[in-house]
Amino acid sequence: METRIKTDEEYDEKAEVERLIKKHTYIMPRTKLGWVLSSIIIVSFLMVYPGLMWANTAYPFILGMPFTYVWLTFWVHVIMAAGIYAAKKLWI
Amino acid sequence: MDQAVISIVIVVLFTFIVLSIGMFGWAKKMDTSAQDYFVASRTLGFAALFFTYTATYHSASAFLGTGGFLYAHGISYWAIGPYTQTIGGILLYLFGSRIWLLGKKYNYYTPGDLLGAFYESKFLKVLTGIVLAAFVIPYVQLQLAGAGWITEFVTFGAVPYVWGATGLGLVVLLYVYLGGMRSVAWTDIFMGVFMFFAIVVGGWYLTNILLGGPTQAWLTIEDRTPLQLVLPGAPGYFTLPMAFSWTVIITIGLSVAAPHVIMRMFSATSIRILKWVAVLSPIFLVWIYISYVWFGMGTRALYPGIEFPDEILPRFLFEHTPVVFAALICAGGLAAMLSTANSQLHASGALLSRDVYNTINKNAGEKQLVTVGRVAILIIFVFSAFAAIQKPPLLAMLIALATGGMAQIFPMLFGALFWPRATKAGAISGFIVGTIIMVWFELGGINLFGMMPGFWALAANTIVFVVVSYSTRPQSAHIIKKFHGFLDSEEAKNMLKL
Repeated sequence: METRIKTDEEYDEKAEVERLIKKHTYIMPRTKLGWVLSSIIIVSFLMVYPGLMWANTAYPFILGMPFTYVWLTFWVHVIMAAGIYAAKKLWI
Repeated sequence: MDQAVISIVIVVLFTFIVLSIGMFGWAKKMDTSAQDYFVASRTLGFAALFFTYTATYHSASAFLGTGGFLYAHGISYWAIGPYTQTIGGILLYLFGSRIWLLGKKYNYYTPGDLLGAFYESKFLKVLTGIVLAAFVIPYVQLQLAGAGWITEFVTFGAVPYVWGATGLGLVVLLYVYLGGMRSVAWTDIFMGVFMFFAIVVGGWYLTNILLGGPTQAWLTIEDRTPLQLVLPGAPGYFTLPMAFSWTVIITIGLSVAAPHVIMRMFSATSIRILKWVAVLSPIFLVWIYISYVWFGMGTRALYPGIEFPDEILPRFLFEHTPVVFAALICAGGLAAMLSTANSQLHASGALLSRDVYNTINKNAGEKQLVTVGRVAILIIFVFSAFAAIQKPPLLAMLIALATGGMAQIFPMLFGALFWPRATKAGAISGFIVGTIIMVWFELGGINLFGMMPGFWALAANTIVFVVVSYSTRPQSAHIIKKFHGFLDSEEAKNMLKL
């Protein structure tokens, strides 16, 4: 069976691809504010999933509303507020 | 005047206004290019983009399905809906800003354009085009079915279900066929505003006259149906894992991966517009249900055992409010349905024209692409209308099938925008595995570990995508530079500031 030897161009291409992958792979926030807002959004979501394991109760009623409703409404509005703040201060 | 006649007049008037606005959109077209027909020459401003996104998002399930959901499963709805809409808004910006940049730079306007170019695969472009268009059919079917039900209900049976579904469908077909994205966006502004006020006012009014206001509604629910105030609700369906899987799939399927949403990302006139649409849309999408929650859950407490809970809003409107008021609110329901059907039909035309036909016939001209897109819209409409006439009984299952199916492009989209290590083989194999599992689990009713089929399909898709990508050769340096290199470049940053 014939074994093909890689050319210099192929090695260069491979090295360049690896460099580009390393350079352009990032999913973490790149600013302090980005970290703060991302953390707020993630924590808010965690307050529901799996937070509802502990917060899944109708009592106490708060301002005439069941606890689950208040809990779910509160955290979703925290996420909304974080998004609006990100749009104002963080995103171009 | 006879009540049926009053209702018919209101429905006809509403339809006439929608059709007139659709025709106005057609008249406002800038040219006869495919770009103008499919993405309005990338000129959608804030109002158009905001309402075409939000009005499309809320469909028949907003007016009918949500009532049924709240009646059957109680507070579970509030653990799913608002979170899908809010996190979806944030994803809309994170993905949308990159999609917008690539679209502007390389003249992309369908998901297949972008995915086919990054993965250097005509097969993938055609495959995603056909599969996504196929998943559009149950979605349009659902809207037409909803329109048929509402029309029959509102007109006291004077206009039968089949006439309502096909007649209103034909109106949508006419203006989408002629005006493309411009007609869709213009009609969505009207229908978005109308549906918001209709649902909020309708729910509020019924809550007050039936339950004595929001506080009394909660007390009544606590007294008579306390299980509705916690998960998994009275039927026990929405356990935490099930609610979580619904949240994940609907967030991805309706906010990022749906073809009509991606086309709206391409259509924005600037990134600032897209940004504010992304973060302000949840206010519309969540608050529209504020009063519906009280009414939907309260109705179960007062009237248990209703056979068709999807009908509670129109039914109680006609039983407890003046016919003019009830018919006007129900016209808002029609707005929710038609504004979704028009966007989905339009997106399916773009998918089949640009992703399928244009890939097979590379030399197709602009006019030819528009013509093929219109024919595709016609074909999808015929399939959807035929399916709607069969009176689908399971609205929620249709939504789950459609959103779960559309969500299957998410991993490969993520790769093209954020993960340069993604490969063609990974994308294709993940997509095929995900789609097969989706259809298999959905048709077989398999809810593994208490989670919906779309979740497992997406999980399998992602695992296959990552494993196969790592096992195969990356895309070429040229392609990575073209996509990820450009997205990180000064040129892109300057384009964002425009």
